[in-house]
Amino acid sequence: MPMFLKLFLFLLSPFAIGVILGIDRKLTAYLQSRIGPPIFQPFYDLFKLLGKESKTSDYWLSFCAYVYLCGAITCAFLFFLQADLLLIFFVQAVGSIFLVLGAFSVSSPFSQIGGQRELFQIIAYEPLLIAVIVGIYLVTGSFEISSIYKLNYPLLAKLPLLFLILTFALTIKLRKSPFDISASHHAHQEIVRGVFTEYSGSYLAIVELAHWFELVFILGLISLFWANSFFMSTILVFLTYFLEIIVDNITSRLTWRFMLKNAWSVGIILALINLIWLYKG
Amino acid sequence: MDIYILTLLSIPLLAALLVYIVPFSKAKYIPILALITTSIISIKIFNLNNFDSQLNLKFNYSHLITVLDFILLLFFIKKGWENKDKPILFFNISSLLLLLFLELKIDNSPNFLINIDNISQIMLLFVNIISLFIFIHAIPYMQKHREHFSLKTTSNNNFFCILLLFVAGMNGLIITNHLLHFYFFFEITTLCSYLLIGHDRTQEAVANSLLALRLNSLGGLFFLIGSTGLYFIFPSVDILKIVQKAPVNSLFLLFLAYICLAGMVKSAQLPFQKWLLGAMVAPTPTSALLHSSTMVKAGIYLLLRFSPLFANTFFSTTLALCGGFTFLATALLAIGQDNAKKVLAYSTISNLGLIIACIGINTPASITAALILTFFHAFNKALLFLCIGTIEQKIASRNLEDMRNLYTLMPLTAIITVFGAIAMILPPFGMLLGKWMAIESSAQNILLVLMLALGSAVTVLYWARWAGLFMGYKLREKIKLESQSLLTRIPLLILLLAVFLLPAYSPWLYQEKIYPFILTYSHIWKNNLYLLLGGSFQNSFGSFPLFPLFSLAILGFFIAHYFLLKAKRKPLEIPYFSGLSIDKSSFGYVNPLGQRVIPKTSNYYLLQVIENSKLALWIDRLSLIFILLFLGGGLR
Repeated sequence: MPMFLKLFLFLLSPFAIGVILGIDRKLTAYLQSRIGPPIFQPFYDLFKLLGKESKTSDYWLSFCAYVYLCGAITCAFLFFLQADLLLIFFVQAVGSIFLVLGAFSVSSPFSQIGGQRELFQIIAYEPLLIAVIVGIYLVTGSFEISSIYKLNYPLLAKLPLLFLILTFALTIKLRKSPFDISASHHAHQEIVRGVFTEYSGSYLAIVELAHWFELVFILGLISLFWANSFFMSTILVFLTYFLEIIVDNITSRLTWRFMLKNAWSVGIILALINLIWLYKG
Repeated sequence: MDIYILTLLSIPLLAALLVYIVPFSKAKYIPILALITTSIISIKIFNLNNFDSQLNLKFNYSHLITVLDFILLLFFIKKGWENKDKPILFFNISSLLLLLFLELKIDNSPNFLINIDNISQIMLLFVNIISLFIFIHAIPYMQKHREHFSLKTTSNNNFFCILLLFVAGMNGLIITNHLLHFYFFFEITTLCSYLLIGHDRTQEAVANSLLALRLNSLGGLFFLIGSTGLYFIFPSVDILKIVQKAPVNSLFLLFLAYICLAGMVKSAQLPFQKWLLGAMVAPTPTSALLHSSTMVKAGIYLLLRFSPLFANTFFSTTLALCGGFTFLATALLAIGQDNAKKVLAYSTISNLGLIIACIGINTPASITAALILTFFHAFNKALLFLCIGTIEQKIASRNLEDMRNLYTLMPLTAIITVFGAIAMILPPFGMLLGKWMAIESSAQNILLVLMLALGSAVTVLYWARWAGLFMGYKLREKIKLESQSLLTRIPLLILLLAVFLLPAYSPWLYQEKIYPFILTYSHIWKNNLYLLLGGSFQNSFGSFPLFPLFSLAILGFFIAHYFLLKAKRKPLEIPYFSGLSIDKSSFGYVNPLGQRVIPKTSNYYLLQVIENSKLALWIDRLSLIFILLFLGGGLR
């Protein structure tokens, strides 16, 4: 792919994410027998928030919000450059850590506990994502994304269990129910949203925008599992995300103990099995 | 060159003597002057490229070292006798007999007593420079410390004297090429560690110093068992010759395992970790210098020296598994700690485990990772320890929860601590560069890579929590820069700069020192060396664009900083209390009974899981299993 096309796609990606989030809300509303907001509502929200007066209860919070944004943009950008997957993962960590640091900087109990819980979410999904990346390496022999596009079969064929784990990890990463432990998306909880509680006004907009760029990376990661066909990878992304929405709506929140226990036992064991297949196969 | 080496060893010793005799108020700056000299020399040696790396000094000091060795062991035996400590007695008497036997048996000496290669250059550099800054920081620290514990006026003379002795010992250990000289310097570090841990003479300090002596004597015994065995198979005490020419058979690997075990005891790997945790009672400069940034690296250095010997063996894989297990297990234990120095201690053990895992993987990429991690860990840990030392003296507590909202009290130190923690876990800093290399090069070993993945996530948890703790502003309070002695502030700032800017130097470090080192063993380490292309590390697995990332990080920092300054123009709001805030200017809320409540939060320490003695027990058992696996890893 020529460079300018990559750049163009990169610049386009947040808009696509905004639309996907709009569809997400519409679908969720349908499942809850509501009409729901227009599809472009995420954009309206974002601009409205950006225009708000920026007040904060800790100055470091503003610093952390912008580092989160920079980290997430870098992460998405590196993804479009088809750089080293493990490196992209570590750059992604910059954003998620600074989100937590911002929450920690305020002594409000809501954001403090939200931050602690977000850290548990992080240690639940990080090992799983690294396992997925290692699995991809064992198939392609390289950590570079570009090498995945050289395969003539979908990764999914070799990494079925790891794909399952990826969806598990993504539910945690996206804080979707049943793992919306550090922040819930449901309307009545929107004011007190765990780790996001103290981010308000334009800072909330920045954090939201950063989250969109994170989504670019996450959905991109899913698309890699059927990278040899553009059509199929799109289908795969939409199907997976659709499933996430369904699961989000039909489950209720579980405790962090449950999440951590299962991510570290079931998740790691499944990953191990899939990795052994590749190792011996 | 001769003169350089002589100065490296003799200047600290001379200074130690001076400090011992002259009253402390007059001798205050002698250690600093001595260390400035050794630092300059270590930089000079570092900058040399083509030089005679193997050489002999004008006089042969082997006999002197033999005599001192016996005196040292007799001193340990005396201490064991005085304290009625049977293990110390047993380990040291066995060592004494073994050493006697070995000294009688050995009839040759190495062609060269001294061997300075690229890794010795790197080690010399950071040992001397970090020591310098820790010494500067120690001057005001020890003065206060003495007043606080009402110790004798001479106690600080002793303290600096032993620290200087340690620097000389460490320099000797790095440059020597004689296996038994290495043993001597190894024991010198044990001695210094023992004396410094017991420095405060409290009951706890004495008990912990004996624990350290016990375990490190065991390490010394391992070393002697290993070297005796090696000498019977390959009669030489020339380390370089052993590494290049020794026949690697199963019996040889068994004895080599004992030498590696000695290194692992020194680096406080599981199950020998207890002494390092106990060592945290010592004054903070000791912890910073000996127990995190330099002395514990002696074990790593020993393993690195011998690593080409066991490349591509199953033995090496088992070593990697031992390291990987320590990395994961001690990271988990660190979550349960609210004592800041203990967190740092666990994190040190954990990172040393990661480095040992890298040495065990034993490929060019992983050896690079090990060296990068060793180098950056030394600077980063020294910084964090000095920060905690400064904070601890101000607030008179080592508990993390007492450091909450420290930004209000001492903004500069708090922020330096936060950045120190961030540099441990995030790109583009040195530790992450090393971790990235470690995970990429361990990806062939499934079990190991999963341990590293889990351990790396847990590491992120305790460092992020640590960083978040210090940042809080207190509402409506004017924040003033804390006043502290320049001798405290300058080392902190310089080490912070080092931690932040040295990663940008890592391509050169790699190109000029690490790459040539790996090339000297190119018959063993051949595939997938990192190449530098436009400031990014690349091999056939992946690439780390260091310079682009570094510039992006700087850009991101300035953007965020701009918005920080912009936010500061407005007064702070009170946090959200579900609409029940006391009023618009005070922190807290009104409960249903009309009482004012100031909410308090603290970290999750997962005590029911971590403090649960069963977990610790299982970790110890499992680590024993791994050690056993490792000991026999070469038999085949």
